Amino acid sequence: MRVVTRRRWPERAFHALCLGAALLPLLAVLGLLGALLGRAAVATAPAGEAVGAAAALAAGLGTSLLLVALTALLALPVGVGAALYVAEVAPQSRLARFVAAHIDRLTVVPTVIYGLAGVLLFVRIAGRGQALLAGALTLAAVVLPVVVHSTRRALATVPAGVREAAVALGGTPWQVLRSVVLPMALPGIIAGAVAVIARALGTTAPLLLLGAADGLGALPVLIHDWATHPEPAFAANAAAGIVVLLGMLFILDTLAIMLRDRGSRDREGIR
Amino acid sequence: MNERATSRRPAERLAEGLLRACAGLTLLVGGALAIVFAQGVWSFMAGGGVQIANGAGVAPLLAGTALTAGIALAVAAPLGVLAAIYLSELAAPRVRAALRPALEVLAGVPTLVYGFLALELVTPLLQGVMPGLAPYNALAPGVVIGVMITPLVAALAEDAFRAVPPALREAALALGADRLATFRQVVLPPALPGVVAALLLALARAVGETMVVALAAGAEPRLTLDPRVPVETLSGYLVHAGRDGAAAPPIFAAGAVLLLCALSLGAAGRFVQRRVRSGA
Repeated sequence: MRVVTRRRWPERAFHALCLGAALLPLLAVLGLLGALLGRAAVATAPAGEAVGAAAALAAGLGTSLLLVALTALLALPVGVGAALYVAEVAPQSRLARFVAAHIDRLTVVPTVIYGLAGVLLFVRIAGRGQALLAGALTLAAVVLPVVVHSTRRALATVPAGVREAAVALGGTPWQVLRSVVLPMALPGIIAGAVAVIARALGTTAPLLLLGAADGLGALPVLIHDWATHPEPAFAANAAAGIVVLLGMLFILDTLAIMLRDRGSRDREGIR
Repeated sequence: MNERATSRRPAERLAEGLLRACAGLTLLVGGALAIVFAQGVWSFMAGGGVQIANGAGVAPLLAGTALTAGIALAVAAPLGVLAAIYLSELAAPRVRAALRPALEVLAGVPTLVYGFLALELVTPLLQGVMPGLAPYNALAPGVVIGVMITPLVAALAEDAFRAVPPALREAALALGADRLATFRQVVLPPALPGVVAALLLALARAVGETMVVALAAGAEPRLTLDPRVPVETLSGYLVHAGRDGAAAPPIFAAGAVLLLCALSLGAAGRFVQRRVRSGA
């Protein structure tokens, strides 16, 4: 039996206010994206222009996928390795603590700043004319802290009891890491990696700074140039580009969520 | 102990060396940013500071940044904190389980997309209510950035509220306080520093936010607090100037100022956060 059947009105009003605050941003962005879809539909309608836009979008998407694949190749091994070292191999070491604090600090650095680093350093490291490699190095620097962060989160989900059981069975630290912790954390690590790839795909500002040196023509740069074109008709093309970009991100996010869910289902069997 | 160390196989030592090398490699990122900062400071001292934005100097860019970030915080602080109260104190577990990932998705939308929305949809929408609003202005990007960082404020503030032990809430409820009074008098006071930290970290994000202001705020450095007219922010200037010409000294000078702003706000946020943890 409930003692209080009716809450007083200030409490109910407060409840509604808080729910509204949580829902408002979601509804606003959903509404705006819906309106954007309307714009994109117009973009494909005019003849002549549409063919050009579609071909440019396909080329931009191809460049972007290549760029992001190269970025992943550079950032994922280093980031996952660093997270393993910091969280599992030698968490108490001076290097580990320094790296952890350093990664923490990097999370507030605006991505444009990485573009400046790209212009100053990575273009030189990669050599002139190697726009793709310079772009990938820059994006790798942008996402590296994110890779370390998401890998550490995945490693932290492995229950302490499982580790202790492995140690109790006589496993050396390396055996525990290789045969127990890593396999259990792997779905989470891969899900994090997919999310990082999605993030790299949408990163624009650093590429714009690099683009001043070499024309790369990745998808976000293409969208930016259409959105800022003096001719208003190009805005519809930019909307179509955004729909393509969001479509790619949706596919990647779905993949990441599926991987994460599979990981948690595997773990339930162990408990 | 000694025996165990020597009995380790060479493969294990190699693996450990490789992982340590990975950890060391991440420091290169910080090193690269330090070089950018040093270059910026040098450019600034060599007179690049006055050349910023074709002689306008750094002050109008700082004003533009403060204006857009301030509007963003004015939007995100109430929305984010109230959403956090809902998620941690009021929501049924199932509602919470649906709402949290939805807010995460919001945070995953590229800022380029938010920039386009601010320029093409939000500004025209606001112009309907505010006839004096220019096609490029500080208001629309500020509001859009605010909506964009609301999930960040909500997540960090929710952590702060959840850190308050449930036993305290139960004790207050048992004494006859309603949920509103319990929240105001029992949950909010100890969580307040955590909420402040959340707002500081969100402000750091808003200050560094680039694509929304680059697209929708305009490219006219202007020392004003009027949200209806075009302004230029530090980050917007980096994109506009970087897109036009290559690595000129004024760009690095402006970059160093932006980096300094973002890092100090981030450090302030972390400082408050750490004090909460050690004080609790």
